[in-house]
Amino acid sequence: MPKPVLTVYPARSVITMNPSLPRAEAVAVRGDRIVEVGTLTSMKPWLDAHEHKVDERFADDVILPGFIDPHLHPTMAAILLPMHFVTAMEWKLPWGTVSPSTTPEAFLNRVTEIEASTQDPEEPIFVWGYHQLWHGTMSRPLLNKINATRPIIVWHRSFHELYLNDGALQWLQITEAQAGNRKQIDYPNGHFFESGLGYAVNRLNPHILAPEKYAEGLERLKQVVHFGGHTTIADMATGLFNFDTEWLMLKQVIERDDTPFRVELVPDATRLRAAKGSNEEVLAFAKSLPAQNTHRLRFSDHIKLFADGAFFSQLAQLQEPGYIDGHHGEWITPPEILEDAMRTYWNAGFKIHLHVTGDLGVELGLDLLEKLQWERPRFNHGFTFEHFGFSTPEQIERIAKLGANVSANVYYLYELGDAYARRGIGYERASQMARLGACLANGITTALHSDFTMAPAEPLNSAWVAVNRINSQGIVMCAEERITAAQALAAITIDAARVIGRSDEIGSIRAGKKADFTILREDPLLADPMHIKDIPIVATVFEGRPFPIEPARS
Amino acid sequence: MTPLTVLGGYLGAGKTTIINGLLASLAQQNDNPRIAVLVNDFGAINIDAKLIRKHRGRTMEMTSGCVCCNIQDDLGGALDILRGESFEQVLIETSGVAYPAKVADYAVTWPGYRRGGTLVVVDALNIDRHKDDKFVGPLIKEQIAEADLLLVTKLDQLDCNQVQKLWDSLPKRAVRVDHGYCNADILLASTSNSIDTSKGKTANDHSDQFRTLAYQSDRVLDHCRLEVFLDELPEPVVRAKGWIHDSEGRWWLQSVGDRWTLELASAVPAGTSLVFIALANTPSDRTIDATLAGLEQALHRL
Repeated sequence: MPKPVLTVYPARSVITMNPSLPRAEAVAVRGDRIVEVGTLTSMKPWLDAHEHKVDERFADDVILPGFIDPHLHPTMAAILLPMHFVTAMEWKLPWGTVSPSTTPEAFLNRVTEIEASTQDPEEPIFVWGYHQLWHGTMSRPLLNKINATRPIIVWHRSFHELYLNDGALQWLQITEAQAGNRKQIDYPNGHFFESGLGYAVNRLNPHILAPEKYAEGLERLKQVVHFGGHTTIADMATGLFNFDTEWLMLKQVIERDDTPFRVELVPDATRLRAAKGSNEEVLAFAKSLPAQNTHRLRFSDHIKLFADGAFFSQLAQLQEPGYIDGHHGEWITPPEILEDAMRTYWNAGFKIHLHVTGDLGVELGLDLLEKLQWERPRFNHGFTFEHFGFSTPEQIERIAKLGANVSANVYYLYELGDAYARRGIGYERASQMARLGACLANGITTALHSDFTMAPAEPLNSAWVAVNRINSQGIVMCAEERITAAQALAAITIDAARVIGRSDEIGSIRAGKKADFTILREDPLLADPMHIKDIPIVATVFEGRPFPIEPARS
Repeated sequence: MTPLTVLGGYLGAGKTTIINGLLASLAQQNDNPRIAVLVNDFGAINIDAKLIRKHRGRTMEMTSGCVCCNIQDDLGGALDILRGESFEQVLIETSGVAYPAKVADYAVTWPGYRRGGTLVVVDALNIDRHKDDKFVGPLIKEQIAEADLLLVTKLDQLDCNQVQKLWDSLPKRAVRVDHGYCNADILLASTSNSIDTSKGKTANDHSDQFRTLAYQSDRVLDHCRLEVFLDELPEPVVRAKGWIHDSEGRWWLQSVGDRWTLELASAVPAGTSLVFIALANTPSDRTIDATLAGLEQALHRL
């Protein structure tokens, strides 16, 4: 069988993320692999020896390694993406950019427009993104004014509360006799929160988790992932809802020829333990999973565990002096139970990814890691602190000494920096969330992730926040912890590949690696740092195949 | 509405042992109340296979009519499953890191349920160490702060001085629980079937740990005086329950440790019927008899 023809892509510049050859002028690809990076002259021996064609389509653009999001939840995204986004922040989505609605009037006007443009009078309308800071008071009567009969469901940005109009209450068969006069359900206003939220969600679940909705959501996720310029993502908690359903749907929707990315799957050991009964059974199950790998979907020896609560809900566990209002965070996993689980996977040689949001969560992760290192030392063990909201400088040194990685959601700083300074933990600690400068100064492998939908699935946007440390009010918070544009690019390419254990195959552009590229119109290392998030993404190349990206409509 | 009682406390305190003890004791009675127990983990529930009638999915039915239901991170879903099945009451065993007050909120949020009280298990052997723990100290103090009544386990492993010191340090009413046995009257809330006044005015629990006072009346009580009476319930009274007809209506009374609630009741038998459970210091404790006698006199003045 003849070898496939070589394709040479000349570019304005190739940013390789390979320190031995940081810049190049062209890259030659055969099939799904890179065969040579350099100049048309330097790659001549390859071109003389093999049939080749020169593809000029990216000649005016900048070629980067394909972007990697090392922590994203396809299932959560699949639930959210069929909903209408009406948000205070801009969201760039493939089917249109959501421009910010920052006043109560703007929010209601947008919902009214959506309602008016929905043809079927019985089709329920799901809206996500309401936040009282911008959108003021929400209520059943306000939604009824838009339409009282068609079900309208308005989710809070945090997903921790929702509002229903008359139509939605009727659709879900929630009556005043049941739900009137109950705490945490404000029936007159159609407001469901805290444990009252569960009552509404249990009735919504059959609709939002219906297989056809879920499949539609995953189709949309595919577009979002491509649109952000990714060629690899990690599902950092497979089994978050239901392992078998998720795996089945991922195989059906993602493992298809039109999908321009691969997914690294990291099983959610906390959920699986509830189903399987013991850490040992989960371990045996996790070890059996790689046998089921497909071309795009891959399990390996990575596993997910959880320490403290959600960052957006202020349930991160904090060291002294805690939250301003004195409330405490939560442990998702009791420390002793976490220790048992960590020991099981550590001793089996697994790479543990630990969800930590507050500095007490980081402290627990560090104490346990130190204990395990004492019991059974490991090198290159891949232990990764995930999310990494609050931390202390002293913890950064310990992370470095214990050889762990950091995968951070730096977008917290943009969306929550100002709010958490005012109504959370005060300016000093809020301004230092996602302490990335110190991580890099200490030589820690540091990646950026979106945890989509906690942040937009746009690696350039995450890089922009990390480089500028600017919050949603346009104010720089803790310039000392800024990282350089080159470091930020590493955090969405080669260092993200290291964190998910695939740096031998992806994350940089060098001979032998997968031909995964993200093509930018401008050079992010030469651009004004404030412009990084707005650099147009022209296309991606996944395993040697170009996939163009259409600009979003606004 | 079904009363919902929360059993909280940190890992290893003895929650599951108490649940096992309760299920075993209910299985031995003929006229036991039909209760549903919600747990996080079936694994630790220790039921004699002979007593299990059916095991399907999230629930395990017992020959006694009680069921055990696995919460599986969806307490609301479990409550929905149980709602249609006319249980007299529901007891929830929380996860060790839960804030019991948040779980107890389901009693006032989820349609069909009402408050049954919040009991928190305290591990006498480890409480001092746990309170100072860097990671769970604040949580354990908060769990105790949110309790209506404390159930103290493992006291048999302490000497007299240590027991006294611990008891003095507890911020609220507490009941000693030895070897996982906790009287069902302490654990469970009141329902119209669960108050047995036929046992007479006062009865000794077989462990001699408790004295019980039953009170019945057809009089309509005075609501203001009733509230004062409840505020001033003597220290040894750890639980009081039943139904009340007073000048403002008919109520369910639920008094657990330091907290009492009256909830509007629609379908209750006529009159007032109450049970008070008080702690005796020793099997031959005379002061408790005086306390109960005083309580009975006060009831007649309401």
